[in-house]
Amino acid sequence: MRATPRNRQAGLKEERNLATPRADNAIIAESLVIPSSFGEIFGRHFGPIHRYLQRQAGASIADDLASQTFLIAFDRRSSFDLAQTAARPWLFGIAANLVRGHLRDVRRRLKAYDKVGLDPPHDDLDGVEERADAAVSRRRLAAALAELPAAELEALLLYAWAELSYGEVAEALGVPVGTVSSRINRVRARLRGPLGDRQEEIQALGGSR
Amino acid sequence: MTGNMRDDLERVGELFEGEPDARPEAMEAARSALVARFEATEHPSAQPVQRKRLFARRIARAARALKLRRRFRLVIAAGGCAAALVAASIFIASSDVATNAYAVQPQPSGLVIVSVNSLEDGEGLQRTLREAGIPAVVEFNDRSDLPPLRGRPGLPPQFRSLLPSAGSVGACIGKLPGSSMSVELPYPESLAHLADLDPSLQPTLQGSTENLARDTLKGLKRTLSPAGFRRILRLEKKRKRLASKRKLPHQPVVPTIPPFTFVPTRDLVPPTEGQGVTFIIDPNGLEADERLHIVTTGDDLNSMTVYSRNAICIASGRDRSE
Repeated sequence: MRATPRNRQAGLKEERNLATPRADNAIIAESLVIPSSFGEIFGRHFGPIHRYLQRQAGASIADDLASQTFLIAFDRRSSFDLAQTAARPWLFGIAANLVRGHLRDVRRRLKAYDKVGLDPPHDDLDGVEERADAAVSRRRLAAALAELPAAELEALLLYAWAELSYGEVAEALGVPVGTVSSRINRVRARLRGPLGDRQEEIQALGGSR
Repeated sequence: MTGNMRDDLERVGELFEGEPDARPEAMEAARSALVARFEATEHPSAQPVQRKRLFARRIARAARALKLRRRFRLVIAAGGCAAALVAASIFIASSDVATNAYAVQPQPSGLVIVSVNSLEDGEGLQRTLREAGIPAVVEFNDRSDLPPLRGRPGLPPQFRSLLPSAGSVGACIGKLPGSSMSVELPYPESLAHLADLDPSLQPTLQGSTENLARDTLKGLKRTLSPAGFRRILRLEKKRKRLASKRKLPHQPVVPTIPPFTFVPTRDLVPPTEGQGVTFIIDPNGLEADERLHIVTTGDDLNSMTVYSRNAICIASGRDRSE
């Protein structure tokens, strides 16, 4: 184990520059000493966090909540688990916690999906009929989501809108992975009711989705 | 059937998909609020005077090449690989050095991340740190002529009674600016241990269990008695037991103490697979003639201790990968 000139030389040979972008945990660790470093976390994640909040609660509430998310994250940065390289689940967990207080707004928006919802891009749908079918089915889906229990809705939206994996959703919500998968499976079972009928109709009409 | 189920969730993803991005004004407002919070944060590095020192240090580093001697302070920090920050192109920063045994990575901010992955090349680490302007003394236990840690030169006497015995868990003790001795510890086991060693210490604890972390969020800091330590120890054991049942990750709390921060993770910047100890040093906390000692008391990384005149971080004892 003794540091001989020989293994020093070997060490020097293996010197290399690490030029990959810094991971979130490195930035957060640095922000413990230099708070303003946290600005980079903001720059990386504000967009997705805001989009997630806006889809749930609308733009004006999202503006406020997204800002709060990062203030809270900054205040809590010393409790971030630095063994995790990505800050996404942690930040979405804070955002989900905040939007929980606006559940009524979220449900209202889902119920009023027709009025406030925007159609997704149409490239993948061929005919007008199918597009109309899809719109009807989305409206039913939104109405079904509005009826979901809060915990299930939260897990579902983190999975489907924030695009977190089951493991990341579990991390964000501070629950075991098994709980997340059972919540989402329950949602699937619930949705199969209203949507399943519709899909059979679509298939009967020749839509092969 | 599976196909249909997948369809359902894809459909959920389509809802509100076309919502516009955040308005630039909203983003700017959020950014300003955050910047205001940075400025309000009471940390030496956040204060303008310190910022000037940081800047002066970078100039000094450049000036050294011209044989201009100038007093400057050192900064070491935690972090990862060199970022493609704008700051990096403006400031002169020495380049990263990474071998299989260690990595020394100056950050654009002026801080330097030190990761030690094996105890093979202490001399190389010392040389690299000194080249980066850090007055380091590296003494790994591969030298049989060294006395035990208690007897090492440069170890402040007030820390001697606090050194944990083998098998205990890491501890950090630091003298915060303008205050008496205070302690912030990553692992509650070491709290109990320290309390046994020195009941008069009355350290300040920041977030070691979920409850305490919550208190910290509210801006509270608890001062704990030795009995309090033991209570935390029990709580933490209970929490760990629950966590292991629910397969939750153990979340260590990072102590931040000038002049360095010990980062209790092995995953931050390991040049090689496996074990690594990473720590952040804030050279603003080092006095002009203060040396930074990086030593081990055993033959593995868990026995690593970093200390200077005013602070000590002990990474010793248990495997923290659990």
